[in-house]
Formats: sequence, structure tokens, C-alpha cells
Amino acid sequence: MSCAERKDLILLYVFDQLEPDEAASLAAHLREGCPRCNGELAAARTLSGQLALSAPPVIPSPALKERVLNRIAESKVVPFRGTQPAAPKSAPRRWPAVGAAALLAASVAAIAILIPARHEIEALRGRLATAREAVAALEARAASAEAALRSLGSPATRMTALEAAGPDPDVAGRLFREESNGAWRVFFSRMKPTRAGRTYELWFVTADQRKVPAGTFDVGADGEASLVVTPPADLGPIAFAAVTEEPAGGVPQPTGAILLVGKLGT
Amino acid sequence: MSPGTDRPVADDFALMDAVASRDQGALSLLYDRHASGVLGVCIRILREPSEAEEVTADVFVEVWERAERYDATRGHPVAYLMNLARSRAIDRLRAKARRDRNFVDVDAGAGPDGSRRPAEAADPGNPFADARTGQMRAHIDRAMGELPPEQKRALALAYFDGMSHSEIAAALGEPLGTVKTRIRQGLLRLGESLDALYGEGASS
Repeated sequence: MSCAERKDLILLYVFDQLEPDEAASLAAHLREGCPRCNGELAAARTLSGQLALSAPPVIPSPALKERVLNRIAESKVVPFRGTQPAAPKSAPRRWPAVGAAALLAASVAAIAILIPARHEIEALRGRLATAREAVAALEARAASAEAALRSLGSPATRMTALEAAGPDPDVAGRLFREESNGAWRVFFSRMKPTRAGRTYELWFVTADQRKVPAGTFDVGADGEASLVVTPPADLGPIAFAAVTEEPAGGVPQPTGAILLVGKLGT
Repeated sequence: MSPGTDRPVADDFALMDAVASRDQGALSLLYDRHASGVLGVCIRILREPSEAEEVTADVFVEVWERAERYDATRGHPVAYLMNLARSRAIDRLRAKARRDRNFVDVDAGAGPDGSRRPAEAADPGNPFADARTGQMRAHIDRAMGELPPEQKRALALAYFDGMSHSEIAAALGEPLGTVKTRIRQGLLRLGESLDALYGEGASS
């Protein structure tokens, strides 16, 4: 199904009018981050909220505002701006919204009423497209690295995907093994920069459960990093590769939770 | 068109940002601007002013406590507020399982007393009413007004009364398939007429 054909489905989805299987398949597509369809989703949500405006407005009693403000004053919510939060918990994949509100505010102020809704979405689509290009570029780099390894003439290059195992579902890694020269290349993407004094550390877990440090790395602002590792020949069979966050400089045994993990085939 | 105040006009995106930074003044302004809309939809759904006021208060407290949930990429702040209000009011309605109401005013354009607002009346009596919300309201009223009555009726029962297809079929005495088709067609038509409205504006 094309995204043009999904437009109507998205509207029905927001209004809870799809059959469960239709809704599930559309939700899966939206979670993949399709920029066009997520733009349509925002438009459909706006329409849904707008429909609620068709109920006649009613001015509340002044006492109600007092109640709201009192409850807010007593509210014990923890401010979340100003301290770096952990990765958004269980949030669906969020769009790169850096400065989005400011961008939207600017366009709202500049352009006639309501037209900005479209511009806002277009602007965000643009930002999302940029982010996706970055991911695509990384994948292209990983693919070309794989191609480079293959071109060495080895029939034995194998790839292992490292998958998210921690709170951030977006992180990803690719490990390429080239048996003949023993050098392993690992590429990481969509990882958040570590806080000051911290670093990412790669681990090999041997078949007999030893955890062996395999190098530290930090990611750039683009969330990407790569690493070339040559496992010691006497290490024995390696069962898993994993990534944790550790104190800068790395540690001999992991202390952090596993963020990424991949099982190596034999 | 401008509200009776010389307060600088912060747009709703900026207000949501300020609320997320725990700015009580921003929440207060957001309330002034939109409480009448939120209370309006709550009353439309719950049909009881005291309950609707409770839900309205809950909605603004929830916006305060969970402002980080609002994501500007997911729709306009007014839509976020109104969706939240509708959702909380419908939750309340279902919790009460109060299915013995009569459905006299299923016409979404009519007030609880059956009165009809002038199409362009934004938010009479609200000195903080903002022009943009007024326009959004006028546009949806116009688009709803263009729907065939049977589509509008089915859509309103689903949207404002939280009724399932089979409940609507029973309430209207119509086959289930007809009800589903009417809601779908009504929604798609609504989407098209708003697309056309904003599309025209965007190209000028």
C-alpha cells in the first residue's frame, strides 16, 4: 500500500474507526517513522481536536481556576527541564523535535491563521527527512564497509546485528567479522552522546561466560561511532558482543546495564 | 478580533514550552484562553456541569504535570488540549456506564439547550479568547455544517457520546454497516473540506 493510499486510513485510525488488523498494520508503519504518514497523523490529530471545538464553549466559574491553580501549586512534579533526563521511557520513537516548537512558533507568528498548521508539518517533515538521511548515510557507510571487507576476497565476512537491550529502543550496531585477517569492525548509530566522565564500552562475552573489554568509544553529535577490534587469538569462542556505559577510560569488568547486544553465530 | 487585553500574545506553542518549564503564569494564560473550550466539550460529553468542571480541572493539572508528553510534531496545542479533554471526559462517561441518557441534541452544532450559535461567534464572554482558536472553531463548524445530517449524527454519537457502532445502530435504528459507512464517509468528507479550506489559504 502506498502512503498516498494511507492518508484516509490515518484519519479513520485517529478516530478509532479501523478494524483491529488494519489499525495494527498502520500503527506498525507509523512506528517505522514514515515522515509523510506521521505528518498526516499530526494533521488528523489536529482535526480530531478541532472537532471537539465544535461543542459550544462554556465559561467556567472563577472558582474553577482557583482550584486548578491551587492543585498546581501543590503538585509535586519533578521538573524535567534543566537536568538531563534518561532516554524517554517507553515513548514511541520520537521525532527529532529540537527547536521544533520555536520553529513552529515563528511560522505561526509569521503567517495567517491556521495556514501554519501545514507549514509546521512541512517544516517538521523537512527536519525528519534530514535525520533520516543521516541514518541512511550511516547505513550506506556500513554497507560500503561490508563491501570493502568482502572485496578483500574473503568469503567469510559475516555481519552480526547488535540490538537495543536498554531503555533506548533506537540504538543500533553492526559488527562485521572477517575471519581471515581477524579484524572486526563495529558501527554504531542513533546513540546518545554520553555525559561528561562517561564512555561507551564494547564487551565480548566468551562461550564460558567471561566478559572481556573490547574497547571504548564515544559517539559524535550525529550519534554515530565505529570501532575496529582484533580479538586476541587465545580468547576462545565468543558468544556475544554487548555495549554498556561506563566511567571514562573504560573498566575491566562491566558495571553498567547492557544497552546493545548481539549473538555471534559460529 | 483581538481579545480585550493588551497582554502580549504568546502563541500556544510557546505557552506549552513555558508550561513544560514549570511556568505557572503560562499555565494560567493557557487556562484563560482555552478553559471555555475544554469545559464546553466536557459538558457536551458528560452533560453535567459539575462533573465537567472536575474533568476540566483534571485536564489542566495533567497538562501541568505531564507537559513533556506534548510533542509539537504531533499536532497543534489546542488540538492536544481538546483531544485530552474529550478523552478524559469519555473515560469518565464510560466509567459511569451511564447509558440511560437521551440523545436529544446529537447535532454537534447545537448547544445543550438546543440553541445554535452564530457560525462565526468565537467564544462569547471569554475576554481571553484567541483569534486562532476562533478560526479553528469557525472552520470546523462550517465543515460540519456541510455534512449530510445522517453522517453528522452518526459521527457525533461516536465522537461526543463515545458510542460503539452497535450502540449507534441501536440508537438510530439503522443497520450496523450503514452506521460504519456513515461515520467513515463523514470523517473523510470532513478531512477533505478542511484540506480544501487550508489548501486554498496556503496557495494564496
